[in-house]
Amino acid sequence: MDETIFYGRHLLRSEYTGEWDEEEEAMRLIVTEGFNKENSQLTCNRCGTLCTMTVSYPCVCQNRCKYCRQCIKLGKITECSHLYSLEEPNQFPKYAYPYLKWTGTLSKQQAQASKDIRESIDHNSDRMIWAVAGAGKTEMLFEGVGQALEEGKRVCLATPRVDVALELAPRLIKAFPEVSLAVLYGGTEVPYQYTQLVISTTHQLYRFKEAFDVLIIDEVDAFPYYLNDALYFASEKARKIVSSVIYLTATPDKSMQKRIKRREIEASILPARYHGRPLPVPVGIWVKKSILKTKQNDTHIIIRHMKRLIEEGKQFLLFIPTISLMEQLMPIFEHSFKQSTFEWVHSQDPHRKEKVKKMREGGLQFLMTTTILERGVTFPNIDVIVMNADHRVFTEAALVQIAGRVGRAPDYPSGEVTYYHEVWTRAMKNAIKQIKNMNAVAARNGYLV
Amino acid sequence: MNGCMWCGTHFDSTYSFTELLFRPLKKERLCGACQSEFILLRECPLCRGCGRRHEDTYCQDCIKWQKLYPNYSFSNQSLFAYNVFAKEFMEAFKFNGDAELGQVFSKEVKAMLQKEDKHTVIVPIPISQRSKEIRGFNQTEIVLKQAGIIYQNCLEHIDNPENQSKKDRRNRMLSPQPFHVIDSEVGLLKQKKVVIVDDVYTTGRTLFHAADAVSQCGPTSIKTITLFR
Repeated sequence: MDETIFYGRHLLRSEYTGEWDEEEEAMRLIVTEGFNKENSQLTCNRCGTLCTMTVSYPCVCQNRCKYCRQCIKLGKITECSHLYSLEEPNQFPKYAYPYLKWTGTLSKQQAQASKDIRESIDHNSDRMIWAVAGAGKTEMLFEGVGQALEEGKRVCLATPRVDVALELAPRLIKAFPEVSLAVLYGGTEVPYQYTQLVISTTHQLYRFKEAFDVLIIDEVDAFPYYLNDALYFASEKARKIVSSVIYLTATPDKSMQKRIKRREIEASILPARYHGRPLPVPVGIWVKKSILKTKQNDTHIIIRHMKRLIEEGKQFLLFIPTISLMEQLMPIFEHSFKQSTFEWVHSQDPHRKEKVKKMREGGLQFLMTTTILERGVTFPNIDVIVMNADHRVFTEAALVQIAGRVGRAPDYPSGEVTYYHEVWTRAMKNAIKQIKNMNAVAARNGYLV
Repeated sequence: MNGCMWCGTHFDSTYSFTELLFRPLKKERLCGACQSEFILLRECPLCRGCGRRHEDTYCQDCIKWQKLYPNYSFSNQSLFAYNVFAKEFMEAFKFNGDAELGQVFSKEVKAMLQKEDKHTVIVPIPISQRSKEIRGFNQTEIVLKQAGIIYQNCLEHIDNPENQSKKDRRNRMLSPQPFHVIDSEVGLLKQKKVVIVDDVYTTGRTLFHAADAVSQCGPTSIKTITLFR
C-alpha cells in the first residue's frame, strides 16, 4: 500500500484505488467512524453537517443506513462507513535555498502585508488580509510561503472556485519551480499525490485531516452565508492543531468586519491597488422605468449610456441580476445594437470561457453577464454598468467586487462604474461607502500616487 | 425557506391562499429553476407505443418491437423526458447513491399509479446482484416506497456479468432474457392487471424482457411505466 496517500488525509476506502489488505490496513491506519453519534444525533465526520434525514435507506452493508447528502459528491458516507487517515509526517525532500525564485518587487503596502504574513506563519497565528481588488494578493504571499516551505512545512492554498485554482497553479509553479505541487478539484484527471504545496478548491479540504501547517483561504467572502459553517469546519479540520490560517478577502462581510474592528483576529488592510491609483467610485443613477416597460427603447437612459460608450470605443460589462431578465432583454438589445458585437454569459453557459476570452482580446464591444463574472476576471480597460442594482443578488460584497473590475491595468487605471436602480438599497449605499473609505485610508497612508 | 435538493439554493415556496387554508403544507423539494428542467411528457404529443415525444402514432422503434412481439399489445407511459439534466440527476441518484433524491418523483409517481384499481399488481424491475452490492438499493423500489405505493417483488434478476447501462445500443438489443418470475409469486400475477415499473426506458429491451417473463403467468393485461423516456 502507498502510505503517502493517507498522510494528513481523511479518506473512504473506496477513494483508495490500490490494493487493500483488510487486516494489515486496520493495524496501520487511523480509523474513524463516518458519522459521529451523540445523543442520537448524527454528524458527518468528514464535513461536519448534522444529518437531518428522517428515514434510513437500504445500504451496501445489507442493513439500512442514513447517509450524508452534503458531501456525497466526494463519496457516500453512511452510518457503516469508516474514514482512514495517517498522521502528517512532513516528509519532504530538501531543495536548494532559496525556494522562492520570484524576483518581482512589492509595492509599499504589499511589502508591509508580506511582512505581516511572514510573522503570522512564524507564530502559528491567524490573519485576515483585507485587500481591495487589484492589490496584488498572490505576490505578497510568496515570501511567507517560501519561508514555510523551507522550514519543511506543508502549505495549502484553497479557493472556492476551480477557475481561480487553475489560474493560481502556473503562477506558483513559476515562483517555486522545484517544490512538488498538486492541484486538487472535483473532476480532475490527475490522481492524488503527496506534495508539500497544495492548491485546492475549498470543497476538497474535506478530504484532509490535520495536514497543513499553513492554510491560505482565498475569497472567504465568496460563500453564501449558509455555507460559511461548512467552510469553517473544513478548514479547521484540514489545518494542524498548531498552524497558521491566512484569510484573503476583498469584501469581508459584516461579521468579519466586526471581528477585525474588535481585534479578535489580526488583520492587514490593503486599501490601494498595486498601481497606486484610487478605486473608481460608483455612481448611482435613478431609472424611472425599466427598459422592458418603455416603448421607445432607444431613448432609454441605459441604452443611451451604452450607445455613448460604443461610440467612444470603450468596452464595458453589463451586469444583469438574473438569467431570465437577460433573456427578456436580448431581443431589445439585438434591435438597438444591430451594428455592435456583443455576447452574454451566465453560470450555465458552456461557451463561457471562449466568450470571456473574446471580450478580453477586444473582439466584443460589450458583454452581458450575471454575477458570475463579479470576481476573478480581469479585463484591461473597461467600464461597468449594473442594471437593476437594487436587486437582491447585488449584495454589498457583490457590488464592491463588480466595481473592482474597473481600472485594473496600470496603463488604464480609471473608468466608470454606474449602478442603475429604481430604489436605493442599503447594499448600494454601503458598497459606495466601503470604496470611498478604502480610498481615504489609502490616501492617508500615502499609498496613492 | 428551504434548500433545493439538487442545486442547494435557498428558495421560498409559494402557496396560494386556499392551499394555506385547506391543504397540509408539503415542502417543495426543488427550486423553480431545477423543477423546470424536468419536462413532463404528458403535456407533449407522444408515441402510442413507448411514450416518447413523437408526432406520429407509432415511432420506428415501436414498429420493430411489434414485429418482434406480435402478441403483446404494449403501451409504455413515462413521466419525464430523459434530457441532459435528467441524466445528471439519475447519475447522482443511482451511481452516487443519493437515495433521498427519489423523493422528487413522489408526487408524479403517486398521481400516475393511484389511477390504477386496487387489484393491480405493481412490479418494479429488479437490479442485478452486482449492482445491489455496489449501490445497496434498487432505485425503482426506492421511488415507489417514497411515493407510498405498495408493490410486489415478483421478478428476479438472473445474474449477468454485464450492466445494461454500460452497453451501447447494439449490445443492449442482443442481451439475453435476464428475468424470471419467482416461483412462489406466479399465482399472484394470474388473471391480474400488471404494471411494470422501471426508472429509464432507453431501448425498451429491459421492459420487453420483463413483460415477456410476466406474460408467461397469464395476467389480464400488462402496462409499463417509467420515470424517464
